[in-house]
Amino acid sequence: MDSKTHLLTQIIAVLVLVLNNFSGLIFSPYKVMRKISRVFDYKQIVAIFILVFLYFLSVGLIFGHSIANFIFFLVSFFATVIFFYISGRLYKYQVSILSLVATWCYSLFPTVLWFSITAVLFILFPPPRTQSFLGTLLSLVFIGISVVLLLWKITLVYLAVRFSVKSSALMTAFLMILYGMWFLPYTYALYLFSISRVPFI
Amino acid sequence: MTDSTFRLLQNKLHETYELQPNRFKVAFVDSVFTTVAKQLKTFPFKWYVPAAMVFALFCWIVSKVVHVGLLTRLASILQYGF
Repeated sequence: MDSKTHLLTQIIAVLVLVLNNFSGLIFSPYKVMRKISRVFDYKQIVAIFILVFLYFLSVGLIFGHSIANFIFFLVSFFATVIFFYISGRLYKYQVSILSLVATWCYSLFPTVLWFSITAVLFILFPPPRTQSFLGTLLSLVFIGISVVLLLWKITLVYLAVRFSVKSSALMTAFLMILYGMWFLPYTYALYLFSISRVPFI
Repeated sequence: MTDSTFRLLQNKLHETYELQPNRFKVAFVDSVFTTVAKQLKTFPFKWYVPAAMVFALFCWIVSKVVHVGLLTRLASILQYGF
């Protein structure tokens, strides 16, 4: 097998693994997140980062948004990972930073999905929504989708922290509240500086 | 026992004891948590979709009765959020 074929095979294999894990997070999030937390595959992480970068690139090209938002995403992502690593260590848990990176990467799936759906809907049905029958119906559907993805995101974040930090449910909830205590002001600061309205995390 | 079966069993054992079980010291809370967690472990959307529909309908009712235009305004704000 020559090097090009080998590379292509590797890329296809990684994409299949990522898609398999993504579908697993829909049907059995607990089992799949546990598996992700135990096996660190940097190729899958790179693939997910490329997917996120493609989102920022396409939004940048279509809507003229700054590609620098990707840098802010990276800052938020690694700040989150470091926060859970340090706080887990402070409470004497055996935290694995690689496990945190992998699980947080996979918990980005609902985020990418929501942002992509919103961008497509922005083109198809540009806001503001009216109070006509169709405007209200679209608002209902859009809010419904947003709530479903938010609940799924919260579940994946909970599982990511629980499996990476190996904390109890109460401790995981406590760590998530602590995280919210600095992340919400950070999000508000990003909003004030017109960087992002909804945090990409 | 073959090596692969042994490794499989070893992994299962490790999985079982990897995380401490969740105990809340109150039997009722324990039972609620176990029931909810069991439901959310496989295909949680069977609960998320009805919950989201209820929330959206609640927003719609509030926008009709209390705060006119709440639903459409919320959707518009979110639509600018990407």
